[in-house]
Amino acid sequence: MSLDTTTKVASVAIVRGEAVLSEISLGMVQNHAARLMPLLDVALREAGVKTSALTHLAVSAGPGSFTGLRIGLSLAKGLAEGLAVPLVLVSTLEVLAAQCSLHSGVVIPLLDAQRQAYYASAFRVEGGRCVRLSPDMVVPKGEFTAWALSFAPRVLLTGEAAPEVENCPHFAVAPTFFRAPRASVLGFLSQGRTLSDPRFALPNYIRPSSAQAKKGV
Amino acid sequence: MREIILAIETSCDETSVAVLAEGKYVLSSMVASQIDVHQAYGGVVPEIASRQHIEHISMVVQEALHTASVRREELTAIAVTHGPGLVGALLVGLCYAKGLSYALGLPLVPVHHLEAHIYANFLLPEPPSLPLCGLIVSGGHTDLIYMPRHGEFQLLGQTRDDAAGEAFDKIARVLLLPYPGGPHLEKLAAHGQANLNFPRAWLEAGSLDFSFSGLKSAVINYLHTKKQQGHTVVAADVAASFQQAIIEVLVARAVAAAKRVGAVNLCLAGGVSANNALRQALRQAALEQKLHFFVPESKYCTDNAAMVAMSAHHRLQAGVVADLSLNAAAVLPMTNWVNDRPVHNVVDNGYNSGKKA
Ligand SMILES: [Zn+2]
Repeated sequence: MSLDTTTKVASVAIVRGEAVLSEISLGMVQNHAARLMPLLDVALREAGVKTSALTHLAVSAGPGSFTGLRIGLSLAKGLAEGLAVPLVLVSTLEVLAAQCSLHSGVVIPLLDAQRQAYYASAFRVEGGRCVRLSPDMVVPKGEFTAWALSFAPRVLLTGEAAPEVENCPHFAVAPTFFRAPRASVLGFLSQGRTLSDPRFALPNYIRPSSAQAKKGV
Repeated sequence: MREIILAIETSCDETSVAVLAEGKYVLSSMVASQIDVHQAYGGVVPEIASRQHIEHISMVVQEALHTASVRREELTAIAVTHGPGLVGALLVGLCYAKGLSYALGLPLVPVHHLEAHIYANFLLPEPPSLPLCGLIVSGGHTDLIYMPRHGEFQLLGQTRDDAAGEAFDKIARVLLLPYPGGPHLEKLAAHGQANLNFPRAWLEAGSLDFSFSGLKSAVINYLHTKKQQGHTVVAADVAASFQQAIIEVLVARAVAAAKRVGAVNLCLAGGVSANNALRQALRQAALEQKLHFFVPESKYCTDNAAMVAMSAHHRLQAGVVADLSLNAAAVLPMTNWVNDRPVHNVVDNGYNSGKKA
């Protein structure tokens, strides 16, 4: 079972081996906390899977909306601890890059990080596999183009903030239906990954809170 | 089957989890406080509070179960505060509770934070009988509530501006006391004389409402004037006089409210009810007026999950259970869950700004 609530999309899926048993995505969700559990319930029912059959839960670690990250992870913690199964955390940006695995070349997923910046990271996609070229990081909007082009002369952008980037002949933008994180892809990526103890799992905010930043902590 | 409720409370800066058996026995009540973390900022920072909650929640749950010697499989219900409070903070406890209750196949009981403060009185070895009149005093609220039976609440009076706890915190700040201000102000007041005559806002005749902003300004003006004149002030006397002014109004209004609705049980609740001077003054007044006075143990006055569990116990008896779409709300009116009518006029005072109820 996998879930993603890091952006305006809420996505849940039940994945077994190579098969997507169910997947539900809602766009433009304002109240993830209210919507997520009913979606998971439907996803399980439609997949015909009992909670006792789940081997692990996969959840987006971030980056993304701080509150969104916590909604997904606290729900996943409660579920995983109640079911006594491990969690797998996967970067939201990696999920987005993996959704472009038909591409060949450098893919940069980016999300709005507010305060004139993006959350972004770079991946090289080849033969359906993604290799990470940079950590997930905060890139100021003004530096984005130079940063992105440092990886390759031509780059494919994806993620909800991709269309915002200034038109530039070196960038291509993934079509809209590739740009929202999908829980099924998260589920596939989670297979064979390091299992973590749900009690100690934490979101990857990347950024300190603004109060901490002001204090220079 | 033996009822065992696990309750979670994360409405402000305390991650609390409790286990309550049969609506009577607090098997454990854990509170992971974040006071040291927020001290550096002079108040609760919502984003930091939320981060702390998700960091600690699993371990506090584990501790609560361990201390109670209860296994997850023995639980019969999960309870959680869904408002009012800091929404980001509430969401952590709420989502965790939703996941846990779904995984364990248990009912999820939604609890109103202020209602839970009143229910802290039912954790006493000899709980009040009903009807009761409750005075909730906290950083976010100063409310007089009439409760004729479980699940029915009537708002008799409330603050029109600052909550009592908020006034305490602000005056503590101008007196340069460390955070959290309330307890420090009380300590300082204990060494002073209430010899300064600060105003009491009695409002119009018959009103059971409160107003503390005039008092707050009077104290600030007093300090300002003295400073301009080059006079020194005795901070302890200022603290004592200010505290006395607040307590006098709270006590008089609480007694008047109980009399008006004919309740013989008077309950004090909320974070400020940990203030000893207030507890004593209200106890004394109740005694004089032949009212039965109740106040929770100090550890159940400040935010805790045992009171949430107790409230949930009574809600469960009435069959009040949440569905999967339960959400958290920064502003949440009290509702009468016996007949599901909202309680009139319960307004929120300054949540979102990190005020604690
Ligand atoms: Zn409170």
